[in-house]
Amino acid sequence: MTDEQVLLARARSLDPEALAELHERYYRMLYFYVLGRVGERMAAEDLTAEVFTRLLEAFHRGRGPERHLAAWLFRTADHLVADHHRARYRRPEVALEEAWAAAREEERSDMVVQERVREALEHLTPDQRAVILMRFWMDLPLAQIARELGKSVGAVKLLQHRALAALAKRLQDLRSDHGAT
Amino acid sequence: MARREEELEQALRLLREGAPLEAVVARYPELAPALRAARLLERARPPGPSLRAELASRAAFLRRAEELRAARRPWAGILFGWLRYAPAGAVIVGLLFIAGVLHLLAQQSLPGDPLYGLKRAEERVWLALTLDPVERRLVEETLAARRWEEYRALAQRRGSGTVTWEGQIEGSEGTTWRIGGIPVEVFPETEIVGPVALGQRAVVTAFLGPEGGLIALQIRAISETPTPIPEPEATWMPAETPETPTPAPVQTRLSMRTPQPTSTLIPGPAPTATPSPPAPATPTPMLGPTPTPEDHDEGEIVKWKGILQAIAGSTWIIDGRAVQVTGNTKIHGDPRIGDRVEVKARRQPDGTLVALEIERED
Repeated sequence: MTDEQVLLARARSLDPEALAELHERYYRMLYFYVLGRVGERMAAEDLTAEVFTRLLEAFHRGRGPERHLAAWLFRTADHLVADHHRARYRRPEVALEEAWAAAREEERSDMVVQERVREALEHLTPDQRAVILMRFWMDLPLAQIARELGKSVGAVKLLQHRALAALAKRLQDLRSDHGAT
Repeated sequence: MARREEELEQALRLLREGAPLEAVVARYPELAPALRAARLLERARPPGPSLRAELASRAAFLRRAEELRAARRPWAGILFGWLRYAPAGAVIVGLLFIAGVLHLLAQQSLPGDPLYGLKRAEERVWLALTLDPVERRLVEETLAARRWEEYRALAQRRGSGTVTWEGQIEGSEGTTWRIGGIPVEVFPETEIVGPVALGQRAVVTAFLGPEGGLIALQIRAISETPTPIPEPEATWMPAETPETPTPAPVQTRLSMRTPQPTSTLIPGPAPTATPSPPAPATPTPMLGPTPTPEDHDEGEIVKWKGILQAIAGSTWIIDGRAVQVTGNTKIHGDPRIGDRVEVKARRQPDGTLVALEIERED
């Protein structure tokens, strides 16, 4: 039984120490994943917390993952983000426009890059997106990414390669506007 | 492709170590778009979550866990824990149900039915798993009794599948008796009426088994003074032994009316004080038209018409009458069991009939 499976078995019985450790271990990973999809810090924090609540309820019903918790959290986050996008489509907010108006020139440039990257990330598959965000935003080594997602290192390398190729294609316009740096 | 992924990994490591993007691109020009995308990704990396948000999430998470723990009933964990296996359990129960139904249907099947193979396979497993010799013998007897019941049921299902003939009991080989020149399988369940012994004339009622052999339902002795046979052969081998169903029926012995010192399998009765001339071994037809014999120098020629009722090896039963089919027999029209045929046969010195010609009537 792996360390992750032991932790999950304890968390399934709602053991407070195990749950605290689980939150500690996966919060940042999940936050970056959600933020990469929604692009707003506040929304990402709320949705991340909601994913953990869903995990508790799954444990309470005797469900939830028995291994590869990160993959389960990302899948649940995908559902919540999709709901979030649908709600935003029905009730558009003006936070981005307000932030844009308040930003300085260099901040605006970063905002454009972040928005284009987020938009490009939406075109990746869930696995590609998870690998890219864990690698480039969380600086996790390939071996750990493979372990968290329940894949081989070779499969993670392949996902990374294909994801970067797809991102490059989507970001082509952005590169021509802002140069290579 | 693997080489390209390795090169990408090396290029990304150079970027992380601080190498300028253009220098790395110059070294790996084919990876330029991917490396620029990677650089943009790093540039777009957002700041980490605020400590306040992380602590708030943690507190809410643990509070909710406490609520759920308080609401959790002891049996709920067990029940919900087992619910995850419900689909697999349902599949297993379904498969067991189907297997049970198939088993019940197979037990009622008869030779030729689609599920009969399953029944025999189950029996083979049963036999293979019975290691104790005594129990194994009991199982074998049970299975032999089942075969008998199957044959009887099969005969009932086929309706007019039984044949009757009369002839002299000529010998036996295992469970196969030869009566009036016709080999017939004798089971323990075969009804034997009256004392039977070698040389005894008897009326046999049999039906055709699933594998072409004749299964005796009843053997009825018709003479109290069996005709002695001077020198019965120690063993009798039919010209073409019909295949017996497996497992073979339990060997049945002929009852001996008078002990004989001979080594024959079926001891013949002691010669009577006034030996009667040997009775003709010719099977006497019980049904159908009376044959019209013709005088012939080499043996009596017999012709008759009737239904081909059974084929047991080289012996054909036509209208209750046995006739041997040899390589010289001319067969016209590919007659099958149930067909009406016309037979021309020659009586042999031992009384049996050898078919010269058999023709199916259209």
